Amino acid sequence: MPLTLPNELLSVRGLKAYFYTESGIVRAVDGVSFTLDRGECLCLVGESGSGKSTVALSILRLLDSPPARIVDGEILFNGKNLLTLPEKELLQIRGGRIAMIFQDPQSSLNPVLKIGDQIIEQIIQHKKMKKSEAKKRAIELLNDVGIPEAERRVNEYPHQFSGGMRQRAMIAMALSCGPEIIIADEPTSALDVTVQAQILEIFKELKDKGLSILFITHDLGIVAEIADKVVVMYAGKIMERGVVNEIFDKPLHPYTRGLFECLPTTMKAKKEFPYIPGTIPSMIDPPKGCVFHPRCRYKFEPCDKDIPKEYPVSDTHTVACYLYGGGK
Amino acid sequence: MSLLEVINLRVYYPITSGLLSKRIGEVKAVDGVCFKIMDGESLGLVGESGCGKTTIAKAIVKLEKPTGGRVIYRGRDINSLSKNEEREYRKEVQMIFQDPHASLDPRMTVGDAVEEPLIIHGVRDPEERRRRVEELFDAVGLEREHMRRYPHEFSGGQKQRIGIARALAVKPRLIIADEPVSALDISVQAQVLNLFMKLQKSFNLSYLFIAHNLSVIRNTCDRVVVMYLGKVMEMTDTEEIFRNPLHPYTRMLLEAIPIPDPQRRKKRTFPPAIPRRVIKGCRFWAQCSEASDRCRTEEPEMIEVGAGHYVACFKV
Repeated sequence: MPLTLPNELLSVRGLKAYFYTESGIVRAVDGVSFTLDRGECLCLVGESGSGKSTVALSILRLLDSPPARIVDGEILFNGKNLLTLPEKELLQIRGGRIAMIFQDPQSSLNPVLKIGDQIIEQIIQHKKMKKSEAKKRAIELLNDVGIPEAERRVNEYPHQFSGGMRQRAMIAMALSCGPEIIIADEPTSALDVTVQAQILEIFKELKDKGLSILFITHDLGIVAEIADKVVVMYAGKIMERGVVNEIFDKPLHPYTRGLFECLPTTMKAKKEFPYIPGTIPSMIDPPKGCVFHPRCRYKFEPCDKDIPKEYPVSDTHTVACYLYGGGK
Repeated sequence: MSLLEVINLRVYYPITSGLLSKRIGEVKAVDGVCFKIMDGESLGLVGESGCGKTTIAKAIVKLEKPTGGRVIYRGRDINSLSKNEEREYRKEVQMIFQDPHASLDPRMTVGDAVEEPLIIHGVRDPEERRRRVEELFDAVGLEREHMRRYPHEFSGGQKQRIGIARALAVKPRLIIADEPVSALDISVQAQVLNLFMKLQKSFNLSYLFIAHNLSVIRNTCDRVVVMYLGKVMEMTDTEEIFRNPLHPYTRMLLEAIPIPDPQRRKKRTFPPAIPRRVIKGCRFWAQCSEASDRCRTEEPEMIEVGAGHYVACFKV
C-alpha cells in the first residue's frame, strides 16, 4: 500500500499520458504530480494544449485508448491506484465517488431522454434505490442547484433548458451519488458571464459543504474566485504551483507572469495589449530543455539544454524555472 | 461623417406550429435598434447570447432580411442598391467570424483561401493576385512560405489571422468581427487584438466589434452599445461605460466579470432571466434589482443623459 498523508484525497504522481498518432507520439501530459486535499478546490490552469483536460480524463480512465495511453505514473484515490483498479471497481468510483462535469452541457446530455430520467439512471446505477425514490431525489437535486419549479422541469428534455440550466442539471447529476470529488473541466466557458457567475456560486457552496473540487480553467478571474491551490500547466508540464494568494501576489514563472499581463481587465484602455509571443509548441517534438524557453523573454544558457526541476520558494510554492534555482 | 447607420432595425423570426406551419407568434430577435458607426471608428456591440448582436451583423451584411428598419451605408439604403453598388458594398463591408476553424475550407490551401475573394471581386491578373496575397500575409503576421499549407496545420490564432487576411483582401472600409477572439487562448487573444488595432491604423478601417464580454471591448473600441434581448440598453464612450455605467444591466454585466484578485472575492448572484415572450414593459425588469411597477408595464425610451451617453431606463 503506497503511503499517503491523511488529508490527501487524490494524489496524481508522475503521470504521463501520451497519444500515439500517425504523425508521432504526442506527449500531452509529461510527468505531472499534484495532490487534492479533502475539502479544497484545486485549479488546474493552462491554455489549450497544456494537457489539463488530459489530466482530468486520465483520472477517471476516460481517455480513448488507442490512441491514448497512460505510460507512467499512478493516481491514488483514498490510497488505491485508479490506474490499475479492475474495471468493475472503477465503475463504482466513476460517477459515484468521483464525478465529472464537462465544458459543454449540450453535448453531455442525451437529447432524447428527459433530464430527470438521466439523473435517475445515474442514481440507480450507483445506489440501491427504487425509481420513485430516485425521482424524488432528482427533484431535490435540481432544486439544490437552483432550478426553479423542479417538479415540473424534471420531466423536460435538454432542449427545453437554457445553457445555464443545462449546466445546473449536469451539476445535479454529478452530485446525485454523493461524490467526494468533482472534476469540472471548464464548466463555465460556454456560458454567458452573468450565468457563469451563478454557476461559480454553486461551486463555492459545494466547497463550503466539504466537497473537494478539481477545477480546470484558463480564466485567472475564475481561479481568483474559487481556488485554494493553483497548478499552472504548460505543454504537458507543471510550470508553477502554490496557494492561490502566492500565485496572485507573486507569480514567478515567466509563463505565469505572462498570463497575468495578458489579462484584459488589468489594462488601460486603447493601449497595445501585452502578449506572450509565439504559440504553444508541438507536443510531438517538444523543444529541448524547458518547454517554455522559445517564448520566454528571460531565457539564458541552461534553458534550452536541461529540463528545470520544480524549485521550492516556500513550503507550498514551487516554480520550474532556472531563474529560481539550480542552473545558475 | 457616419459610415454606417442602423435605423430602427427589426428582425423577427416566425414561430410556427403544426403540419401547415401555421404562424403562431414571432421571436423579436432585434427590435428597433439604432446606432451609427463613424468613419474610422470602432464600435463595440455587447450583450449575452440571444440579445440579437449576431443577427444585427447578419442584417448588415445582408445574410438576413430585416423585418423593418433600414441600414444606411454612406448615405444609401443597402436594400435599394443597384447591382454594381451592391457588389461594391459587399466588398467594402467584410465579416470575420468567431470560429476560425469552421470558417476556412479544410481542402483549400490558406493561400488560395485568401486569394478567393480577389478572384470573386475581379482581380484578373494572377501575378497581381499573388503579390496581393503575399502583402496580406505580411500584414497579418503570417509567413509567406505557409501559403501552400492547409488550415489544419495552423493554430487557432494563426487561423484567425488567415480569416482577417481574407477579409482584408478586397480593401474593405468596415469590418464586422463577430466574437473574433473568444475561441482563442488569452495569450493569443492579445496578439490578435493588437493586430486588429494595427490594421485599423494602416488600412483606415472602421470596426463593428461584437463580444459577449465587456473586458475585450475595453481596449479596442471607441464606443459601446450594450444590448439585452433585442434592444439597446445603453450606448456611450468606452471609457464612460466603465467609469459611469448607468443601466442596471450594464452594471450587472460589469459585475459579473470575475476579478483576478483572490482578496476581492465576493458573492455574485443574479436573478435568472425569464422567457422573453412573457415580458411586458422593460425587457430587463425580471433580472433588475431596481425594477418598479412602471418598468413592468411600460417600455422605457432611449434618452440622452449626457453628451453621447444614451440609456433606456426609467431610473436615470
